[in-house]
Amino acid sequence: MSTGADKTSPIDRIPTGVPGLDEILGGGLLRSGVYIFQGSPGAGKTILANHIVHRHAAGGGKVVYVTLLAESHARLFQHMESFSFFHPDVVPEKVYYVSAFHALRTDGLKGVIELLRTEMRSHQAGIVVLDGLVMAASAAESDEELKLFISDIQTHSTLSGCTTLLLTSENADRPVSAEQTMVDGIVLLRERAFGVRRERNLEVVKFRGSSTLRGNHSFRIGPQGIVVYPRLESARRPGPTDCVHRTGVSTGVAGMDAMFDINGYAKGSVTALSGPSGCGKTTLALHFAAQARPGDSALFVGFYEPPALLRQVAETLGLRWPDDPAALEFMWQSFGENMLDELAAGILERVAHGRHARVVIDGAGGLMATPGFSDRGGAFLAALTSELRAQGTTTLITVEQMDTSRALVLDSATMSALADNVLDLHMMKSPRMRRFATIRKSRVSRCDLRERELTLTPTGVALVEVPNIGD
Amino acid sequence: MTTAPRILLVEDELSSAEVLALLLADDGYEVTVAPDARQALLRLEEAAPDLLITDFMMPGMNGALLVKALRDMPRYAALPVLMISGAPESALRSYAVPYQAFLRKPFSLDEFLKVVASLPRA
Repeated sequence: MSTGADKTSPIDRIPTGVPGLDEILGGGLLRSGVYIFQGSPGAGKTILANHIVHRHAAGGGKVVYVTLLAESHARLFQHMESFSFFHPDVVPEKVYYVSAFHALRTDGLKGVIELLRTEMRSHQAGIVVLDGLVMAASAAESDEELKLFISDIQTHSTLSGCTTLLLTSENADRPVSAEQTMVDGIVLLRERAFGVRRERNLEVVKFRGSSTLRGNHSFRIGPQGIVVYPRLESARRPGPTDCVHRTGVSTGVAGMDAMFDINGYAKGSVTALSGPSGCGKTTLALHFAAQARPGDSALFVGFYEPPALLRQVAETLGLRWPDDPAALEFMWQSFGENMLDELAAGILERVAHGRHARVVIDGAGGLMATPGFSDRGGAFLAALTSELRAQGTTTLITVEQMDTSRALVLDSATMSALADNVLDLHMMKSPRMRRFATIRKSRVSRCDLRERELTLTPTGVALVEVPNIGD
Repeated sequence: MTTAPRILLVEDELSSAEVLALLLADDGYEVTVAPDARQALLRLEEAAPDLLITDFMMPGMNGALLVKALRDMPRYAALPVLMISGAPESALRSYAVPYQAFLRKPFSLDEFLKVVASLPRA
């Protein structure tokens, strides 16, 4: 007969409180776990650890922060005070900073263990940080001694219910070390080079007792501390279900709605506007955005023209540009200096917060110029469009077709696979420059595949039929 | 002949302790350094301090509790105390411990010496 004692209760989680990190860890660190945070000097370990401990203190927990390094606590405070997570008034009642350097020097690793034990107990700490594991490793006379040191830390952590973070400035990519084999989890912090640009990322390479989001995840250090952006393709999200409807959402372009049997783009669909530079992609995107109203609002994500210039262009075209900021929100990002997952998170958060029904991404080139896109390209776009569909937005992405002398990073075949509708735009000089649009693909609706010409009217662009050659 | 004023300096950050001790010695003080409160209490007899300079956050007993312990000893009940800490002074309020001066780290060495010079001697 089962007494119920056979069932093991799930281990408690300690949320880190660092945006994005708990999602990667499957909910947070495990109580009583011992974790290594490893990365070269400047990788962000100390900032990350202080962010975690101050969030823990803000939630009522207590922390002991033990340093084995030369940096004085005063200098540490000076650096941390620039971050909004750092609250000096929790020091020392909730976050107690202490040096173990003397203990290490006089009594070796045993002295450090004794200090950790007594401080854990006297402060009833829920988290202990040991900053400077590399010093302890240097003091160990053998790998065996270091393993025993870690084993003692694990024992004390388990008995006291205290979660321990060990910070080490060893290079994240050094071969597996003795201490790494002992701990419950390892988080590596790195900086990756993309030409002249650098991007910080972290990777959870070991985590006993729970699944995590695998692979590299970028993060940024800013005034709020650390923000981690889980890699979009790996983040667990419910898949889209019934997200594309046979309901038309006006394109905003006279003559274009009628090209679809549902009188516009299918609600929840993704449309790619593809064509060379100058063919009218941004113009058509502006028409779509100009349809925005409160309750049918839009997010315009741009990398090229700033919002004020876009408004000017729209007004020159004769469009009625929404004045209400609740109707049309801009997210303008400088070209190239972004992180892919930060961009995706920014777009998805704005869509959710603003309940935007329409999204314009002008254009895919801004995403393609972002470090890491060449590795992830199609998978990233598939994940992003999937998320946008799941939120029920009708999305327009402009895609510039490059000339044949340059390699395509995102070819039209990939775009076609990702998008529900593909509109091709092209230009012809005969004798003046003329612009044409054709629907290449429409997944959800029947459509008129005949070519249309873009013409300018007092109230914007219109699509008109092109006479046949025989006419 | 006046003897040099004797200072007991209690500081767990060794590099800071060494620098402050050298500075005080250069200024004519006789300094005994202890790395924590327990060591400070053990070395009281030897140090026979006229002034206590103690860090606040230390392993084991913190600086405020050290001062409380000294105030309970008749010989050191009136020992002048300079408290130093990276934490703000408000962190000491809950301990209700009398001290004569507080310096928040990091402080300039000139300021440190001025404050030490201004304190009464036991």
